[in-house]
Amino acid sequence: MIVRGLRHRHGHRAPEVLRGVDLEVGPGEAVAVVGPSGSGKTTLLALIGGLLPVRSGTVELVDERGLSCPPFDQAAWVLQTVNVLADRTVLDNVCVGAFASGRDRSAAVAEALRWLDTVGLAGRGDDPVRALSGGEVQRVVIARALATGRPLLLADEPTGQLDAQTTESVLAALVDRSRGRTLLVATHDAEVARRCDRVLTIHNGQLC
Amino acid sequence: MPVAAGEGVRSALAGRWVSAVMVLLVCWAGAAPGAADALAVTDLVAQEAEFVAAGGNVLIAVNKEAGVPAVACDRLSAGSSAGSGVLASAALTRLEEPAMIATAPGGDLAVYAVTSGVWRLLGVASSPWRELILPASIADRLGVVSGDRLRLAASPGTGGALLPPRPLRVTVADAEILGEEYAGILLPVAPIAGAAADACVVAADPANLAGIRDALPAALPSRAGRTVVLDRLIAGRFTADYSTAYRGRPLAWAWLAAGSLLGMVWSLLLWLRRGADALYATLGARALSRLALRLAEWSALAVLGGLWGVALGMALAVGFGASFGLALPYVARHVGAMLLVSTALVLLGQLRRPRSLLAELKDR
Repeated sequence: MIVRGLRHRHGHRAPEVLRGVDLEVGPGEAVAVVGPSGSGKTTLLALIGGLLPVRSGTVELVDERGLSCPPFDQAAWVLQTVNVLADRTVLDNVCVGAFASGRDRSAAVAEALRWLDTVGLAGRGDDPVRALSGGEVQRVVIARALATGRPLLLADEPTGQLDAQTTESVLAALVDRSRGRTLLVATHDAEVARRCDRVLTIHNGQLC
Repeated sequence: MPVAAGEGVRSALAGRWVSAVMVLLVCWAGAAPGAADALAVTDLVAQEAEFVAAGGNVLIAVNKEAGVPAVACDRLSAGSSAGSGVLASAALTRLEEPAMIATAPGGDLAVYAVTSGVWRLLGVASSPWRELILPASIADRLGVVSGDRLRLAASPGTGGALLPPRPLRVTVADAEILGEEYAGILLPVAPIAGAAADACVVAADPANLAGIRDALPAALPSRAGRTVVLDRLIAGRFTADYSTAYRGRPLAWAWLAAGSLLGMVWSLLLWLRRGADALYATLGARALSRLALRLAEWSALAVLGGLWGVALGMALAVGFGASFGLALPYVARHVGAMLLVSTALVLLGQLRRPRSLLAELKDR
């Protein structure tokens, strides 16, 4: 993943949140972006993952053949706010990625069950997601991201609202189980950063 | 696309209370106005039937100076000279000399020559065997029934030249629809002297009554004088104008309001759940797939609510006195049109462009 000269402001008169960010992340690398609240971590991830339009600078994902791919189709998200389909079951929430990509549901269910097992939620597929604890919900979200099969994982404060014990299980699911994929985590949690291959600090809209 | 539709149906089923409330809302929004409109139409039909039975739809054209053309009058219901909606018409002329029933001498009766259109006017099938129409009141007094033969005799002091010499087969019929003044003996297809009749009686479709009233003078041209069109009913017991009452029913357009309300409610719910839509988008669902999902979700609820709505609307309408056959098209039309409007609004709402996926995910 190659980011060059990325700048962004939320509105014409708003102050610049990112001021020319340059970043390169290798395949399979886990990188933590740390910094205080409001430093631009979420904005950086949102621009890389296509949640915000890139107006200045470039974001490029290059596959193993050297071809450039649109980032939006290659990234799977674990978000700061818990984004689940609250009315649905755990299994439905993990399978939703399959629907979105138009895959057959039966194949998606088998894949989803495998990832639920991996994140420690085996046998919970039929539970309503609203019956789960915060840590369990976050693991469902991680399983969903992993089940998409996308090579880039973007995680925004994945442990922000969790206690220490739950953080451990979520990190195990996110960092350890996603080996082989490129992982970019925005966090202010030192434990999360410690588990990654590289730590970058963002300050005043610039990486250092 | 089928995968997206399946996801939409699963989403509708998982919606629990929200889905249940929407189904109930669709059901009642279709049923209540649909049933009320069916009942209004039932009432209107009953009023109109009473109006027709009382002769409210009968017009009488007269020309005191030259009379009205008998042939043109008789043909009104066959042609379009008075516009569409003429149900029956007949010309009649009072014979100058009264007559009496040969077997019951002493009672002079007025005799009218009428054209053959009188059969349709009285609702009696025409037949060569029907030769004389006797009002029920006279028939009862004489003990005569339809099919009997009667011979007419000249009243004392009259020549009786226009009376048929042989006995005529009787048809007992209530001729009150023609007007109280014509309560005498009617002789269908008797020659009308000079082809100009005293009056032309026209039964019109109540919905076209006003138009036919206006068109009659021109459709019945006379050599002299002015043709005047009178209403058979003078009293104002029937105040509704049936030519506009059906189109002007207060609930005729209720489906538009109900459909708009439903469409707005569901669009609001979708807006509140825009985070879920953005979530689908981040996972790769294209705009068309998301549209198919939301449309399938809405359709599942709408079809279920609509079917219940038709059933409930029919139960309400029939329960309050509408006939099944009359109520069904109105209730079904209300529910169907309401769902079309609401679906169009839901579709329109889905064309909204999000500010950014990040904002949608954060419900901003």
